[in-house]
Amino acid sequence: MRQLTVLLVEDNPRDVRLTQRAFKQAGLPHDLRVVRDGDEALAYLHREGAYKESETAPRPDVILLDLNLPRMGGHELLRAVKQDNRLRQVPIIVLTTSERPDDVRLAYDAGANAYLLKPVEFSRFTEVIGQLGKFWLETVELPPEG
Amino acid sequence: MVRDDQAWQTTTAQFYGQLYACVWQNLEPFLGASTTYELLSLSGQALHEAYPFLARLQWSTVGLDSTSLAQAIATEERAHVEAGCEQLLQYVQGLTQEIGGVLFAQRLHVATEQLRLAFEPAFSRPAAPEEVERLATPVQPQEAALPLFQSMGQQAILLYRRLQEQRAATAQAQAALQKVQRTPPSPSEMPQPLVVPADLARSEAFYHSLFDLSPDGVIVADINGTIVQANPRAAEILEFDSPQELIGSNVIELYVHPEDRAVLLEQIAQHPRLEGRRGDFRTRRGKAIIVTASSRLIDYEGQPCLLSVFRDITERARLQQEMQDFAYSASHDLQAPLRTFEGYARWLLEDYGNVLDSTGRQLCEEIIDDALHMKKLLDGLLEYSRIGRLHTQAVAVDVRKVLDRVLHDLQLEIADTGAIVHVPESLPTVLYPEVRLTQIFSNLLSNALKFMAPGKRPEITLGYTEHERYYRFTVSDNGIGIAPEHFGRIFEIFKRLHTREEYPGTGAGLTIVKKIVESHGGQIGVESVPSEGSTFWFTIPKTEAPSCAS
Repeated sequence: MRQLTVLLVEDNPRDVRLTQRAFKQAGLPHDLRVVRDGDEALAYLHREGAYKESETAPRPDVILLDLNLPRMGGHELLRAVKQDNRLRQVPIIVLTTSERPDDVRLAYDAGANAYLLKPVEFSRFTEVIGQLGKFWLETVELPPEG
Repeated sequence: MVRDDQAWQTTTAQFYGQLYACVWQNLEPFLGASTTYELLSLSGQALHEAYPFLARLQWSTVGLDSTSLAQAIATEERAHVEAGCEQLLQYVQGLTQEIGGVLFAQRLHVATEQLRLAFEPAFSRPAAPEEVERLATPVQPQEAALPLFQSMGQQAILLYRRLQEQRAATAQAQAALQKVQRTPPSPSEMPQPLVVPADLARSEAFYHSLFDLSPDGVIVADINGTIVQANPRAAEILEFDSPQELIGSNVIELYVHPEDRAVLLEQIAQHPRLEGRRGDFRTRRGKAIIVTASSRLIDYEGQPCLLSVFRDITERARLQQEMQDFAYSASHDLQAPLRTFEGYARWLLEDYGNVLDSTGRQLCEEIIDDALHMKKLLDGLLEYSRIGRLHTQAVAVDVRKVLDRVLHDLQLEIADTGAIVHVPESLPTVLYPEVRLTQIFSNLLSNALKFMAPGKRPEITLGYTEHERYYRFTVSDNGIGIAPEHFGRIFEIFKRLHTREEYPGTGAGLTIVKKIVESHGGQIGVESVPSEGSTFWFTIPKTEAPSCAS
């Protein structure tokens, strides 16, 4: 069975844990890779540094992006990916606690494919992850490899 | 000319004595004694030539000396005296309007007309009763406005004096000119007929002074954007050295987004008056500023021009933006740990519930409970900071539709409590942002449902009354009520009168309602008897109040 390869860009280790658990509880076949900031995300996507080998950095089906990141921020990474001809096809889903209208607008302007708010309640977070995983795994046709 | 018998003089002196006393009593509390004195004696002076007896009236800082009135008219003819006295009243009325505005003048007019009616029978004018009836007593100027009135009064008197000097000088110059030219005087050079005060004060000099003194920038620009007139404040705001320097330059160069000018022209073609529009400008020295402007299309020296009055709100906008950013980041950053609390406590319960005893599990439940409560507090804070800042368009809203929706959303609570809700047969349509009105009713109604008295069937009555300038809505319940000493406290953010166990909630609801009501020019309050019930009331102005710049 096909699995969804997800690149999670998230600096908060506790949020990473909760997201991993949510994916597990949602019960979808997945391969969740985690990077801690924008620079690491670009290194991963360009297979540079620690991510030279394709096994350590499988091309993600979707990127889950937190906006509030140290160093290269979420908006910046979003723009960098969407302006890169080789990477722009990868859907980016912003997953954040920020309800700031400017953040929402900027994210869509830069080419985000969806903007999701992280609920505080874990059971609802699991629901969101479940819906999201199901949608990208089963409902949509993803861009072909290569 | 046969003189009437002496009786008319007594009556006339009595009547006008009372009338001017009434004028005095109406003006003095607002303008102060010295300005009132100046206003009355100046008015008299202006009419001296036509009615010399007015010069014999003695005014002091406590009003008219009534014996001077009796003496002044002793040798005059009745028609002449009455005409003079009426002219004086009109003159005062006109100046009053210039100083205090139409409402203030109307207030005086109502008072004098009432006096006229009360003074049987000689001085009642045929049309007066209906007129007085028609003019409902205007609102009293607020205490706080008194210093403003007084200073405006002083300014107006000052301007008036200058104007008179100027007129005298002009008249002299014209007379000299006539002599030189030896041509018959044109109608405009004829001796001026009796000067009507309103016209006088409205004259160019008066408005020119207003223009120069205005704390707001004023600019007149033609359709192409060329500035044809500007006041000192406009130059100051836009960082030009003088208005002269500003005149001749093009207003489009000052726009941050030049296309905004075209949009403005398009809109003004549809609505000749635009109020409170926000715009981004760049000063001559390159500083970015934000202004709020009101514009209208005028005829300026024969060509259509745009008159704009504007105020620099850069600092205010910056503070608002800062406040908004603060609220969003606070809400955002504080939520991250909450997610951990809730998620981890839930995790403990799910995966380690069997190794915890009942107290351990209870503690986890309470962490979850508090984390979710704090999320609600943050939402309340964020909502509170949003009101009056985000663009919420006032539209014509049918209050019934709003109530129907709110009651529909609350149908579960209504069914659970078995509450009876009375909604009035007719409800008005108001000018308000629909989402805000929904918030108000939703909050007040859910409070009424929440704070019900145990063992009593909740009964909620909605009502409204229409007033001249506003609608007043009420939401009454038969719940637990509020002690009077807490009336103020319940509107403060996060202030609660009960524990969360007794009545759930964050304590933000009424604060939000109050802020909404007040930011739309209304008032809110509560009347309550403990253990009998509460009535919350709020008002909505009939015309849209100037909304907060956002």
